[in-house]
Parts: sequence; structure tokens; C-alpha cells
Amino acid sequence: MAGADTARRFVTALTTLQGAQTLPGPSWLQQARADGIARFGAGGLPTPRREAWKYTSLAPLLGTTFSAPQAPSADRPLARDLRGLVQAYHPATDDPTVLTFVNGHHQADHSHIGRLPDKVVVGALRSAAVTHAAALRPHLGAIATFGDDSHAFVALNTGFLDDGAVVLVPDGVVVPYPINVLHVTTRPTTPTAIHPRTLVVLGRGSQARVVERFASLGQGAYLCNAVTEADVGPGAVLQHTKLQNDSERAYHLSTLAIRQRRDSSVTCHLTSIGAALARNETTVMLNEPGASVRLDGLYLARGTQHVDNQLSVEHVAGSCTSDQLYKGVLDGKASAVFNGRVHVRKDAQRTDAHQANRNLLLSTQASINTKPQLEIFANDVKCSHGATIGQLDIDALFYLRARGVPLEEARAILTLAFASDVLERETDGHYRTFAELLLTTWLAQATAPGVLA
Amino acid sequence: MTPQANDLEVLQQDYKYGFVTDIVSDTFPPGLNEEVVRAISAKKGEPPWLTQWRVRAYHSWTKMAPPTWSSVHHPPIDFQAISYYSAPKPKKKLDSLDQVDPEVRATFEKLGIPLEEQKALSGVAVDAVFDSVSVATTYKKKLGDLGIIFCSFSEAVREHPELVRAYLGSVVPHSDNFYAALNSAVFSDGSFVYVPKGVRCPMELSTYFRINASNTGQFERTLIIADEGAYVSYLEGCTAPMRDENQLHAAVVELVALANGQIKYSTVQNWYPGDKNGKGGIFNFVTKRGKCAGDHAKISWTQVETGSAITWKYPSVILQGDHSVGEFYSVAVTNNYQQADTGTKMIHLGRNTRSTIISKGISAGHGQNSYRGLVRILPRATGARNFSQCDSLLMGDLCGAHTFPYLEVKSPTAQVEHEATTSKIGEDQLFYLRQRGIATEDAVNLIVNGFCKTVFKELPMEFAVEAQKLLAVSLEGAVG
Repeated sequence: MAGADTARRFVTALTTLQGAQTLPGPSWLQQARADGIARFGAGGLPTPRREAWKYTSLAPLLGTTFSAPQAPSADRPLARDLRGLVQAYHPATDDPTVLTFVNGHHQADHSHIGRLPDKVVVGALRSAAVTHAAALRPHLGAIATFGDDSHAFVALNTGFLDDGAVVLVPDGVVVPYPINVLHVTTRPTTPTAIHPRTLVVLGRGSQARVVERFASLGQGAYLCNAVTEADVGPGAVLQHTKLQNDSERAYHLSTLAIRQRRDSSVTCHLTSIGAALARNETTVMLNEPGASVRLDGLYLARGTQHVDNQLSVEHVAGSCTSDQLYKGVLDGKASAVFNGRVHVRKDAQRTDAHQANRNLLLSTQASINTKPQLEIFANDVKCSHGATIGQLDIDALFYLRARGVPLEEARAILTLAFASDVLERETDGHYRTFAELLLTTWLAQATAPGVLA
Repeated sequence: MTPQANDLEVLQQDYKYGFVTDIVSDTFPPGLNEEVVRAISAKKGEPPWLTQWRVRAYHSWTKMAPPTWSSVHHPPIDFQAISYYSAPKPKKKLDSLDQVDPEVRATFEKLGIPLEEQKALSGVAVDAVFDSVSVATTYKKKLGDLGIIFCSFSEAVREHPELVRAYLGSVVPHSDNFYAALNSAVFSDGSFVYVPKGVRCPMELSTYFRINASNTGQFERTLIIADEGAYVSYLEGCTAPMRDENQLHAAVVELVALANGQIKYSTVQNWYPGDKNGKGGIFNFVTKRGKCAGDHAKISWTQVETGSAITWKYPSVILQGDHSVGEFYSVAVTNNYQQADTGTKMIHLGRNTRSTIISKGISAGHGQNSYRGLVRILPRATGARNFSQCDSLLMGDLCGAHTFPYLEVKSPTAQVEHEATTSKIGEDQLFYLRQRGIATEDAVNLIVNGFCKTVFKELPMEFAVEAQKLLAVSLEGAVG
């Protein structure tokens, strides 16, 4: 088969051209990379024949040769643009902690460590792998695993594991300010592939808030294959916010893997707006009783964008709760996927799991494939899921238009209202304002006249 | 006081319909190849086009592999170890019911369908399929006067080849899936219904299927056509004798409703589910699909699945005509080691098409119950509407309930809603009933019947009564 050959060549090119062997690091890291490369090489690129990739074709990637990213040049215009971007994304006030990565590499010039409690480690993975190896090793690669073929891109990321953010919070420490991680890809001359890896480890009873943002300078074509791992200790509280605003020509494939201990609490908030092809995977392991997780997401797509949201919540232990709310707004010829899976294991009694996916189709050519799944092997559970797909309420539009609101504005008001209950679940006021602004801008740019015109 | 599991009397109900009738069977040796397919066709005296069709299906089948995507687990089936034809020896042409093999008659007595009384009492015409060949058909004349054809599939091939040729494989092509292809190659017999334009069939048409001779998988083929403005309600009920080895059943049902035509298809499936250790039982791998070919057509599937070791079926509707309607109402019960992977597909092609899916799954013992459904709305299907509800009830901590709904929507004017819940029987509900002097077992039946009520009310009356009894029997000893 020609298709399989192309895919094999692509995999070989991706794994050899970039020279994972030449990356620096201690020997245990070298070994992890070798395992990742071997697994990705053996499993190859997932095809739509695989259930988890049923609605997302990676064929557009095949025609592209991705090379290793160049180190960002130290020229002044870039530095100025970067500074602008960092400022645009972060509040100028209250001394924020920002770790900036350009093309996957930590940029000390554009990073800033603000006020932090003692013993909290926030830094780049490349240096932490040497200085804090003992703290990293039990977690790195142990939460985002790739034992089977279903996580090919985690394997690929591990193959090129080099740099990223590390957040280590010791027992009982509460970090009162958000820790911001900004991944910027500059407009490359040839398509590049970057593989950032973030690791968050929260000790017993600690609290932290991590905000990851993915953005680009210019509309370049690149592959951003990010993996974030979080180990949340007993009674710890993690708030994770992710903004995916990559270039509209980019491929964004990311995995967020979370492992929760007893009575821990995690809130994840996703805003996915950029990239030609975006896939946001979230896997949560509720390993001990009393853990709770909330997964909120808002995805916007237009033009020919494709956004794929894969959620998997594994109720390993009993008495845990999970709650998913994902909402999508699709315009133009955009397509989206929601695949939410809740798996309640045999002994996970008293599980409380809820899942909702709501979609708004704004144009005649947009499409959505949604699959909320429940797999339940315990009997004392309360589980529910719901999915809806629809358009703007004609009566509501009429109401607004009858009061002199132009059609486009009326559509924007109603769409914002649709999206707002996800945004309102975000507790960080600054981020919420920022996301609302993004959404409003996005709506103002919507060009499709719409089916209801 | 909260009722405990040990409050409950654990009753073991033997399979009531487990018996084997000893009649001389004309059975092919096990194995399948093109010769066997041709031999089946020759044996049935089929025209060349049908033989060709079977052979094409056989060749498609050889290129396919058994599906592995569902959540059911079973040892691989040796398709060469199955005998593909078994018929009671034809004695002579039958003039009346009295000439039916007395042993066959006795079997029907045990099943509770005394043929001679059927006419007088029930007003239900019964086409009794006994081990692949129809032995008796009643009420034929009454239906004939209205122009309704209700006969065995073989007879339809002989008497109405033009109808069979026009519609056979038009909904489920011979290469549709592994088991449908197998059925297309080796189907033995089945039922055929044609209701002409504007005719409303005055009675519920009913068929009792029965698997009898050892080692014969049964490959039924049913084709029902409702012409323009016609209406028919069809009942299918199944029982099978107790067996230790697994028996394969791979049926195909095709429904075609033309403009303004309506078909209501109801099933109560009570095949041998295997014993309480999961030994034996029927593998029920069925392809059922209907097509609303014309505008304003309607197809409604109602099923109560309590039997079989494994149930694998997805009664589907292709909503091709504008304003056509598809419905699916299902109750699936799995107890002991039973597995059910069932659901529906609603393919919306026409404008303003509507579909409703109500699925109720009950798992007990080690039973595994999956709902797997697809709602696909294509760009042309403007104004399409779907509502799906899938609820699961869990009894006992070793069973499982799973939901895999696929919603694929390509039209912004579509309105699609899906909701599902999973829970166990409320302890407060049980307590309330127990407090009022209702035995736990009865209380559970009451709650379960309430859970299934929206589906049962879609069943024709006789079936609804049977279904409630079946449910109670299926869940005996399973309550926790």
C-alpha cells in the first residue's frame, strides 16, 4: 500500500532526521529517548482505522518533512516581538512568574521568576534533569505512558524529550500566584517539529496553579507535540489552564496526563482556538479514594480547522468524582471531534461521573463527531452523559434583531452566551478576561454569512 | 432497615423451553465452500440469479474477517465445523394442519402455540419456521384477499421472484459485514412479507423461530416490504432448546418502507443464554436494517433481548425519504455470563427526518451490557431531529454497563440530543416497597418494569405481557 509506505517513510524521517541521539542529558534520559523512538518507529503513525483516531486523519502531515527546530536567533526584532507577546499574554502587574520557551528551548531572557514560597522549584527541564534528577525520575514518563500503540505521540515526545517546564511543590506549600508557561514557535524557514515536556509534581497538601499557553510569532507551519505530566499528591489542589492558540497552519498534538492521589482535587480548563489540526488529549487516573477532577473545555474552529478533543478519566479507586463539560463552536468548513471516556473499574464503588458535550454549528459545512462513552464495571455508581448538537435559537435571534441588533452582532451575543458557562468555570479572573477577549475577537472575525442570514 | 442481598431467595430457574425434538433431519455434513453454497441453492430449487448472488456473497465472505470491534468476547468460531443445511424430511404436500409431523406439533404445543387454536383464538397468523423450513402457514387466505403476501422465503422465491429480486440485498448488501455475507451465502429460509399500496395489514404477523437439530446454525433471512401507504406490524419471538456447545445464529432482516409506508417490527428474544456458569448458549449475531425509501415513511424497531449467550445486533434505519421517521426501543437484559452489544444506527439522509432512540440496559450477575449506537446526519438532511436516551441499571458488583454513542453531524440545522445515565436500584425505592409488605423480589420486578416501561408500551399487547414475564424470569436470583 502506497499510503502505508508514505507513513513509514514519514516516521523514519521524523525519527532519524532530527537526531534524537545528539540531544544532551544524563544516561537515564538517553535511555527513555531510545525507548520512545523505538516505540514510535514500531507503532508508526496512527491511522483512522484505529478507534481513537477514527475522525482525525494525519494524512496532511505526511506531505511535510519536519526538521529539528533551529535555536532562535538573537536578533533584535525577534526579541522585541517576543517581549510584546509575553506582555500581551501576561498581566503586567503583580510580578508574575513566566517561563518562556521558544521553539522548545527555554529562554532565560524572556522568563521571570516572581515571588514564590521557599523550596518551590520552577525552572527548565534541561537543567532540572541534572539538578533535581532524584525528584524528577519517579514521575517523568511514568504518568504519560506509551506502553501500547495508542499513545504514539507521547512516545515521539519522549523520543525527543529535551526541554520544557518543571514545577515541583513540596508538601504543604501553597503557591499563591499562577505559574505561567509560554510556548512560542517562531515562523520557521522550513517546517519544524517541537516536543516540549512539562512536569508538575505537587506534594501532600500543596496547591498550585499552572497556566500553559501555546502561541506563535507569524503564521508558520510546524508540529507542536507537547506532553504535560502532573502528579498530584494526597490532598493537593492543582488548577491547570491551557490556551492553545497556535498558528493556523500548525499541527498541535498534545497530551495532558494527570495522576491523582487520595483526596486530591484537579481542575483543568482548556481553550482551543488555533492550529490547522489540533488534538487535545487529557487522561486522568483517579488512583486513590476521594479524588475529584473537573475537566472544562471550549473549542472554537473555523475555516478548514480540525479540532479533536480526547478525554479519558479512569476511576481506579472508589469514592472519586469526575465532571466534564466541553463546548464547541464551529464555523466555516471546520470539523471537530469530542471523544470523552469514563472508565469505572470493578472496585470503584460510589463513583460519581458526569460528562457533557455541547456543540454549536454556525455554518452549513461545519461538522461534529461526538462520542461520549461510559464503561462501567461497578454497580454503586452515579454516571451520566449528555451530548447535544444544534444551532442558534431562531427565536432568540429574532428577539435581538427585532430590537435593532444587527444579525452579526446578535449571533456574536448568543454565541458568547453559549460559551460563557465554560468560561465562567475558570476561577482566574485575568485568564477569563483574556479568553473572553479572544472569543470576542474570534467572533468579530467570523466571515461566514451563516445559515440564518 | 436496608434490604440486604442475603434477604433474597436465590431461585434457579431451569430453561423452560429446553427440549429437543427427535425428527429425521436431512442434514449436510459440516463445512462450507462454494459447492455447499451451490448445493443449498440447488436443494431449494432456486433460480440461477439467486445462486449467483449466494456465490458472490460467499466470495465476499471469504475475504472478510470476523468483527473484533465490539465489546463481546468468545472463543473463535470454527465456521467449517458447522452444518449449513438442515430440513425436516418432506413427507408430502400438506393439505391441512393435521398432516403436520405430530412431533413438530407437540413441540409447538410445549411452546404454547397450538396451531389449530391459533386461527380461532388469537387472530394472529403464524408462519412457523421449524429448523429452517416452514412447515405450516395459517391465515394465508385472509391475507391473500387483501393482496398481502406472507409466506416463507423459499416460497416467495418460487412464487414472487420479481419482488424478491428487486428488494433482496437492497438494504443489507451481500457484502455488508462478515455475518451478513455468511447469511447471504447460506441462508436457509425465513419470512417474506409484502403489503401492497394503501393496504393496512389487519393483524399482527408473527413468526416463531426455533433452532432444533444439533450443530446447525440457523441462517434466517427476512424481507418485509410496505408499499406506498401500507402498514404492517410484525412480531418475532424466539426460543431454543438447551445445548452445551455454542450455537451460531446469523440472521438478516431487511425492511423496506416506500412513501407513506409504515413497518413496526417487534422482537422478543429468549434464546438459551447458557447455564449460570456461562456454559453453552446461543451466539446471536444479527444484521437488521430498514430503509425508509420514500417520503413520510416510518420504521419502528422494538426489541426485548433477554436470551442468548451473546447478542450482537444493531437494528438500524436509513432515513432516505424526506420527513421519514425511525424509531428504536430496546430492553436488553444480561444475567450470569451473558453479553449484549446492541444498539442502533440512524442514518439521516432526507430533509426533516426524525429519529428516536430509547435503550434500557439491565446488567446482573457477571453480565456485560453495551449500548453502541450511531446517529449520522448528512449535509442534505436539513431540519433533522434526533433524541437518544440510554439508561443502564446495574444489579450486583460483577456486571458491567457500557455506552458508546457515536454522533456524526454535518448539518447545522440538525438538532441532536443524547443522554445516558447509569445507576443501581435505589435502596430507598426498595425500602419503600418492602416497608409496604412487598417481597424484595417483587419489589425489584416492579422497579425494573418501571425502568423499562417506555419500551414495553411500544410492544403489541401479547408481547408486552410475555416480555414482562421474561424479564422477571431472566433476573431471578440476580438481585442485590
